[in-house]
Amino acid sequence: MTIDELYTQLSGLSASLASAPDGVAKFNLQTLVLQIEKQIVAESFDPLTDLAAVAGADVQQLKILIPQVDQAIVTEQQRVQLVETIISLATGALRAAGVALP
Amino acid sequence: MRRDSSLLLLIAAALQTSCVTPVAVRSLSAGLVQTQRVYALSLQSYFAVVEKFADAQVKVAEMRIDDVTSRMNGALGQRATADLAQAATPADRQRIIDQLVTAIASNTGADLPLKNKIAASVASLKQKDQELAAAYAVILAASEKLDEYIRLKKVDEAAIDALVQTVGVSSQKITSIVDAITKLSADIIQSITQMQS
Repeated sequence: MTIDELYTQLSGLSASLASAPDGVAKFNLQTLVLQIEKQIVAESFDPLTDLAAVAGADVQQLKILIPQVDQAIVTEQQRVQLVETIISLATGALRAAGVALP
Repeated sequence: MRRDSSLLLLIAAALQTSCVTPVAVRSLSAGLVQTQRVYALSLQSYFAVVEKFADAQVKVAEMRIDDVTSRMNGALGQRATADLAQAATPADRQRIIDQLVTAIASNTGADLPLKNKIAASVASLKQKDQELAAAYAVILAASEKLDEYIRLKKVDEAAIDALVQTVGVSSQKITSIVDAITKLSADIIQSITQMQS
């Protein structure tokens, strides 16, 4: 029996005793029903606690690889600079040697 | 004339051996990053709305708990009033009042663990939201870094650019030519394969 079912049965029982004379048992039953009502309200949030067990994406490897790409970018930029310098020097040398370039 | 022919030959060789990043790859990379940036914003908005909803539900739950407690305390008060009417001595009256005070304090005090439990549940939700947002931020950063590398001018492109300057052909045209050559090569390979089989 779930707590919701228990609540439904006990609150139904308490309602059926509404016309009965007041007594300790009737009072305790009413109190129990109200206590269960509070528990139900509080437990309605319980599914959220399952979120802690939900696995997220592991991005640690990405954090390690990003700086490596950074380094690759710097290396590539240096290589480009070197190639451009070499070609510039070669062009200058050709012109100095009298080769007509556009 | 002969010199120009040599230069063109050199460029053609460079085009065929180099590996300029195709326009489609650059476009996809840029599009992916842009989409992920927008998605990150959507995710943040979504989390904010869900958390706002959860906070509102916490308030409603606390109000319901307070209401139930108030009803319970009211019932305790009614029972104490009935008992007081039947009390024979001042000591009995004091005992009934003391019991009422204790019962109300106990009843009200029992709410705190319930409210703390609710608060912990919602805190768990917010914690998970933060974890997901942080993970996605890293994913986005990785995509941006890859895109930065893809957009980077590579050595082969630099070489082609420098060579192209000597004959006055635009680098965009060169990229198109490379794409065309790649497609043509694929077609030739496919045709040869079909002929052989």
